[in-house]
This record gives sequence, C-alpha cells and structure tokens, in this order.
Amino acid sequence: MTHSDNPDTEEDLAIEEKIRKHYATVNPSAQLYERIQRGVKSETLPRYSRRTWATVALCASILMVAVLVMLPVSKQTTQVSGDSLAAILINELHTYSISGRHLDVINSDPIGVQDWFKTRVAFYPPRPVTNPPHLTLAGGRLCNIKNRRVVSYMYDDNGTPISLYILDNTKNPALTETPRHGLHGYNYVAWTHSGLRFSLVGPVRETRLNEIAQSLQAKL
Amino acid sequence: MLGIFRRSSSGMNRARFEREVLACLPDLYRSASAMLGQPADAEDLVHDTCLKAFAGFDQVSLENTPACQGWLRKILVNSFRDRYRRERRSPIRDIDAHSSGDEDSVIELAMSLEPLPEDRLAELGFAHALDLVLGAMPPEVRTVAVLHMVNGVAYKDIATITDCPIGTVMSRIARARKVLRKHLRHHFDGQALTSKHQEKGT
Repeated sequence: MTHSDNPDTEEDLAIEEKIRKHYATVNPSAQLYERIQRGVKSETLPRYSRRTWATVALCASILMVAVLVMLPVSKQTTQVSGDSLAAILINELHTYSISGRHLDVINSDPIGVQDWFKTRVAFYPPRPVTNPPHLTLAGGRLCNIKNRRVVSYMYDDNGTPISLYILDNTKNPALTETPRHGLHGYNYVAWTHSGLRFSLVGPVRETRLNEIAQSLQAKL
Repeated sequence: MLGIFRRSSSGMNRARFEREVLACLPDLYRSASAMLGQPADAEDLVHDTCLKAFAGFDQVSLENTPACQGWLRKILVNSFRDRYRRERRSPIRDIDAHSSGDEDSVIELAMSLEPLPEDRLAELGFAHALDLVLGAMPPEVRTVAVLHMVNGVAYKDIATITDCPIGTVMSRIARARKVLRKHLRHHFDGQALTSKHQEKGT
C-alpha cells in the first residue's frame, strides 16, 4: 500500500468529513414514513384470506399438473397462455386484491401520481385520466413484471379496484399477449398508444371495462 | 379468540416496530440515497427494507439501537444487491457488460473505465459530483464506501453486514478513497487537499 492509499491521510479525512456533512442534511420525506406505515399496517391484517388463497392456489396447481400429465396434447397450449401478458396482469391484480396490500402512492391528484412515477420507470408515464365514468383515481403501484418496472394506475369503481397497467411497448418483445376474459372473474382490455402498451384489468363486466377503456383512450 | 389474540399481538408488534425501526429511518435513507443517487429509488429501497424487516421482526432479539441499526443495514445491503442483480437481468439495462472475470478484475475494470472527465466534475457542485462518482463505483465498492463514509460504520461491522472478510472491506474502501481523491479534489480549492499536495511536491 502506497502512502496515498493510507486511509488516514488528511485528504481522505477532509473528503470523508465533507461527504458525512453533506449526507447529514439528507432526510427521508414524511411521505416515506406514511408509505412504510401503510405497508406495515397491511402486513398485520388478518391472514385468513391469504391462507385461503394459498390453499386454492395449491389445489389449482395440483389439478393443473394432473391435467398436464393426463393430457400431454394440451400442455403446449396451457404454457403459452400462462405466459401471456394478459394472464400475468390479471393474476397480478387478483393477488393484490386478495392480499390486502397497500398502494405505493395514495393520491387522487393525477399530477401527483404522475410525478411519483416519473423517476421510477424508464419511460415517461402519461398523466392519469380523471373522471372516466363513475371512476375515481385512487393512486398507483409500482409493479415488477418479468424484471420490468410497470406503472399501475389504480382506479376505484364503486369499491372495485381497476388497474391500468402501462409498460414500454418497444422494449418488450418477449411478452406475448393473448386476450383473456373471465379468468378469476376478471376482464382485460389492451391497446397501444405512443409506444406504450396500456392494459386495463378489473373484476367487472366486459362491457363496463370496454366503456372505461374507450373513455381512457379518448382522453389520453 | 385466538384470532383476537393474534391481532392484538401483531398490533403490539407494529407499535414496537414503529418505535424502534422507524427511529433508524434517517440513517437507512442516507445509506440508500448515497448508494442509488435518485431519491425515488432510495425511497423504494428503504420501503422494501422496512417491510422485509417487519416480516422478520418477531424472530430477532435486538438488544439496543446499534443492534437494530446493524440488522437493518444488513437487510438494506441485501435488498440493494437483489435489486442490482435483478436490474442486470433486466432487458432494459446492460449494466456491467464486462463482468465476466473475478471480482477484483471487474472492480479494476470498472475503475479504469474513466466515465467521469475531471474537468466536467470540477464544474459541478459537490453534491452532484459526489453522486456521479459514487454511482460510477461498482456496487460492492459503493456499498462499503457508503457504510463507512456516510454512516460511519466500523470496518469490523461492515464485514459482518456485507458478509465479507475484513481485508476485502479495507481494500474496497482504499479503492473508493483513491477514486474520490482523484475526482473530488477540485472541490477543496485552497483547503486541505491542495496544501497536502503541495507538501508532497516540495
């Protein structure tokens, strides 16, 4: 180790003192405290719904394996649809709904929600549309789907959560999309606009979801 | 009955968690902020860290605040590593395309890439320049540098937090110091660095 590598030189001490002083002024925001408290609170909710879901999922997996073993011809079809973006997003929203998880940002102001996502995803998120018919903006969630960050604007339709997922269409050739209707009682509508892929998912009737999708598309 | 007891117990757990863990939040946030640069990324990392900590909160016995801080730092560092690994797998980014050799050669390579022209750094404010310099360091070097220089954690404790031999911690900090000296000395005009340099020259 040379003299300049010595950790106790005045140079190093001066730099480190300045670094420490600089970061001593960096403090977490009140929103971060609130977000963590919301997260912790949702973790302490009664777990029976999760256990029920886990049991159902386990039974479904066993059943699926049994079907795949008995019907090898249908195996390929099942794998393709399982990989489809629609199925992934429907499962994502379904898991969110039954888990009682919290939103990452709770804000009905579209600018506030858009700003929150601006520094968190690799594309420019469009401003959430407000006032689609009988729908309220509740906030948003940052989702991680196939190692990609995906925006989820959460709307409330008379107590029913509806999610508008947005991801960069140009950088996502691996995700195939097969329209899925009625999976877990959820419906799915998708469209592309300005290089982004929009997927609207919710446990509502297909006509209602289409009505919302048309309203959102018209205002984007 | 059992459900009520469980709920009450988890409520007490939450209150204790909020009292003990949230008190360490500024320290955690400073680490995350220095490791990631972007406030939004730092918030996400601290948020994930706290939820992971809460999940394991009733399985650890934390005697005092330093023990709690050490435990939280370990979770933070692991979450940072997970995040970095996930981003390396992501098709968006091609971080560290050169990382095929052993750790030392990767660190040497990353340090020798010279992504930060010195004259440009001199024009920036200290905070911005520091962000760039830390961001250009390989994550493992950045982690130990931040723990030591931002949070004042001792070498021995860093070795425990990062699961590394103390010699590795020392060598990584030495490397970080070398880079910081090289790129940040412009921000100490007429102060300790210059005078020290002149002494060496004479």
